[in-house]
Amino acid sequence: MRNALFLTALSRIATAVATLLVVAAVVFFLMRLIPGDPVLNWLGSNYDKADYDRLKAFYGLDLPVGQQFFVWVQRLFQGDLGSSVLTNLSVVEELLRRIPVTVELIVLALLVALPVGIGAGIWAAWRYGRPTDHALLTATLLGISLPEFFVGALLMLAFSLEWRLLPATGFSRFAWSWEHFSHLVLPALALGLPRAAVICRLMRGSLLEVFGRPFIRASLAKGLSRKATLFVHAVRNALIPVVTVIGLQIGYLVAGAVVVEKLFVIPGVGAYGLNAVFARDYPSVQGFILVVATIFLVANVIVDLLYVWLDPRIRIGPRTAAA
Amino acid sequence: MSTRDELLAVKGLGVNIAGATVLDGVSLAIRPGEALGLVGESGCGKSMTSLAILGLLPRGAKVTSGSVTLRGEELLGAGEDALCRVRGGAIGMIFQEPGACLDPVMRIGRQIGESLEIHRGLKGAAQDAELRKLLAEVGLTDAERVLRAYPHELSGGMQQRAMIAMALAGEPVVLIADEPTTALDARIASQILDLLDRLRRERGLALLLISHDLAVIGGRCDRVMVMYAGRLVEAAPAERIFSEARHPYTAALIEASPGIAGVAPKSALRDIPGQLPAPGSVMEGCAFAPRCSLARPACSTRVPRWSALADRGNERGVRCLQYEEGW
Repeated sequence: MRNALFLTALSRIATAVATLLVVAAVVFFLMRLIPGDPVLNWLGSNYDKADYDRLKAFYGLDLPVGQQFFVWVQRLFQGDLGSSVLTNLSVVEELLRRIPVTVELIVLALLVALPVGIGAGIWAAWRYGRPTDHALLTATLLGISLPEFFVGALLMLAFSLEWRLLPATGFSRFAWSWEHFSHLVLPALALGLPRAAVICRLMRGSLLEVFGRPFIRASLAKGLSRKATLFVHAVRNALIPVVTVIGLQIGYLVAGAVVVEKLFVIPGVGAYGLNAVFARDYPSVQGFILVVATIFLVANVIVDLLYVWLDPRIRIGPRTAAA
Repeated sequence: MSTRDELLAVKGLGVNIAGATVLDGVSLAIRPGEALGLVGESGCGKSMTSLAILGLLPRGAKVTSGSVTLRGEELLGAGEDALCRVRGGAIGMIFQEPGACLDPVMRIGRQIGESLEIHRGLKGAAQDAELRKLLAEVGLTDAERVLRAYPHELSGGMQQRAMIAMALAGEPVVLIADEPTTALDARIASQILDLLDRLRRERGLALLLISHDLAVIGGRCDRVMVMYAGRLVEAAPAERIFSEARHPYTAALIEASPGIAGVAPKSALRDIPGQLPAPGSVMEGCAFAPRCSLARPACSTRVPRWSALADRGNERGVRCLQYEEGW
């Protein structure tokens, strides 16, 4: 078991690093296909051709694209992502400052999405076909249909403007204080609730499928109560397919974080990436994508390991646990 | 038999699913140490009967009449707590497809241990000792490995032995085995049946053995009851049913069964023409009439009554108009 876990981890990490490089390459070339020129953006419409050429050369943007990529990868392995075309600040430093903020937001959103989603899913399946089930299905349909920015705006209207319970926007440095977390409650809800809706529906469906399996009847036949059967046998089996999807949901969380950070004015990676894309700030965009891809891949490696732990039928081997 | 020594008694049990009758007037009784075989085609209501006994009917199924008593105590309509004590306690049950009946993500030891804990309060070292005793009793010798194994790491035969150990964990007085060997190959199947036989003798268990296969039932049971379309059609001592089948369905079933112990087929195997009626479709008249070579017009309009047959003190009975007045 330990060994299986270790080997799986190793193979997943190797795959993740390779994936990361491919993602970086794709983004590098795609960015340069999008119309728009960062130097032109920065200089405005009235500029001196000499200045333009000088800046192009300064940022290495006058080289052929292939060579630019080569230089970028070379620097990447030295831990250097270049500096922003817009602000001339080091991309690495800027990202390192912002990553903890975004990671914290995502973790908090997961702390909303997982318990709420899984709990509601169990509840709905337990009350299958009854009013509770129907109410939860309707609520989750809403949750799935509403985008994060809309949920966020509603929460802001209710909790900040109407009831004045929580700050609408802003951020304070990390500390174990209400001051810090109060700024993250609404963003975490806005980000987490739509995910909770998806997870709830999956968990419900998965549980209903498990309820029909013979070992549930066998568990009842050996004298376990219905509740004990649900929590001891059904839930863990039902979680196996749900966990796979939770890994993919992390992707939505990262994407949602971009919007939510912008809405709630949180200085995270998402807001940074959004501004960088608008400015065609190539080095920043590349750094941003690298971070996003890393978060996504790390999350999925964790999910794969969780999978091995949850389902003993999954054995050693790089391909058996592939979801 | 007198009602005094009946351990488990089902009387006039009727079950509906969405208005369709799936069980109609099913009655049976088992004494301690006795093996009763319940036989019939798939879908005839054998499993429904066993599930009704334990109060585990599927969603939508309703008991419409009858009673189920264990040592004189009514189980139908009993509270969930009382039923939980009976399930896996006084009445153990094993199923078809042992692989699917074990939780795939829990170690065997814990799954059997669960039963020991809820029915006998055994935990820790006491539980571990009892687990080893149970495994030895069902012929699983490599206890160390089996207890730590997940279901998929065991063979089908071992899985069924583990299921049996689980059913025995609550020290049952009745063991219901619903098609326990259907998913197993012939050699393993006969080992499992031998094991059930031995447990019955050693523990004085009452065994309700359910199978679609007369050959499985015949050699192992004291009495056999034949079901068709939700009704019992014949009951007889096992040693007589093959030679003196009274109901045309029983006779047809025997002719369609290869290799019944001690009974060489008189002719080539004969299929039973037609098929089992859909649940709820023919409850007027004898359900077997459309497939019966002896059927007369009356058979499709009158439901045959249960006719007790005198047979040297043995309880025998048949549900066929042949044995009623005015045939």
